[in-house]
Amino acid sequence: MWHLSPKALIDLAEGARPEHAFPHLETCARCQRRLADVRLALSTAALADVPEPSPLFWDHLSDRIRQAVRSEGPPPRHDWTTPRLSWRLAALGGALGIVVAAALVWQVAPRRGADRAAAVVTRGSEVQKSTQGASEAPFTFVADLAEGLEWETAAEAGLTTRFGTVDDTLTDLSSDERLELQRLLNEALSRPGA
Amino acid sequence: MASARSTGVALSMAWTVARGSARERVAPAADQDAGASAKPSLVELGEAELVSQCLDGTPGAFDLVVERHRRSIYQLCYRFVANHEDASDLTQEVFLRAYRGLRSFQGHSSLSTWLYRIAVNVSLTRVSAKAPVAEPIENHQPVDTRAESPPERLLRHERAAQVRAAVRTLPARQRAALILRVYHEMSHQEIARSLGSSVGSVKANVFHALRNLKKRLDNEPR
Repeated sequence: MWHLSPKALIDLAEGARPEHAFPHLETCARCQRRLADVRLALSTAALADVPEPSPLFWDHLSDRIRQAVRSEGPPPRHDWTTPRLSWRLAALGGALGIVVAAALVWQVAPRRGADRAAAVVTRGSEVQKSTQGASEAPFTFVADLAEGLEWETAAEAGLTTRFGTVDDTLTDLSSDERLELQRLLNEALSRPGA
Repeated sequence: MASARSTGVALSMAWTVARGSARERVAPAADQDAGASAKPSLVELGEAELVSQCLDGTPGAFDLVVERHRRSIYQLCYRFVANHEDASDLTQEVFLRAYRGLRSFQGHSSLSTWLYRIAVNVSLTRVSAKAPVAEPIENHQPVDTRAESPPERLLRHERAAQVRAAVRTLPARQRAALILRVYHEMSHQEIARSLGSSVGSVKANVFHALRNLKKRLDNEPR
């Protein structure tokens, strides 16, 4: 046997629908009891009024809110009735972002990176030659790896230099300067406690 | 060099558009200044116009929004947390969030419904994060010595406190639906919009809230 749904009981309890719209109610004691319970609970719930705060509270609350809003600064000056303005600015911002990103990524960084990549990759053989007589095994190993290494592959592996870093500066050294640096490094590493 | 030139062109375009937009905003404001004597006061404005004034930064516009809705928002928050301090903090938070999100008010619902939605979200977040605080035993009420005897008044206050405590134990969505329906007389459609649910779900939540409320109160000693 079916009974009245919660939605129907709420509609009846609130007077949104008349009882004669539910003939089942006349013959079902269970639904009659449930409807009576809902009505009683509604009237009981309505008893729970909120304690009224002090009359001074409201102005104090408004002052607090005003202070908090003032610290936020002025609201965004955007007219919500004209979305075309925000659309235009959003489109311009997107286009500007694309132009700047393209300029930086495709023309600035890769040029510098490519130059340094060329210095690293193509000078692998120079490194190999310049390490004659020194502890050359590790340098030879790296030089062998660097030979034939593509720029994109090195970039994906995070091996490329970045502007302003020490390894970036090293690529600007001449061959003699590089040799001298290697000598100094070997000397420092051969000291006891290094 | 080519990249710098293209960047410069893009920046120049952006500046030109921004200046044009600024002129559009200044021109209407200038017209408004010229007709300032015929401008209605803030109190006479409808909700949409008042919100627009708030977004324009008109002094006192948002203060008026606060003044109109502070009591109902405070009462709603109180029913969730059942103490004055938390309700006061939540009310401030509600209006602060409303101020930040004013541009998102599209006018599809009333401003009070929109504020209620913020208040419900803020209150539900608070009650889920914080352990419930027992309601103070004494709540100063305006006393009407003519209407009821002291024992009757005391019984009424105690019963009200019991009901508030029972409401606080309800599951979140049942509590929210009950509060908005019974105490703020929102329609089921408005409640559904505020809670992001359907009318059927709202009615079901109200029903179950009332049934659970009755169970809890029946277990309370009178």
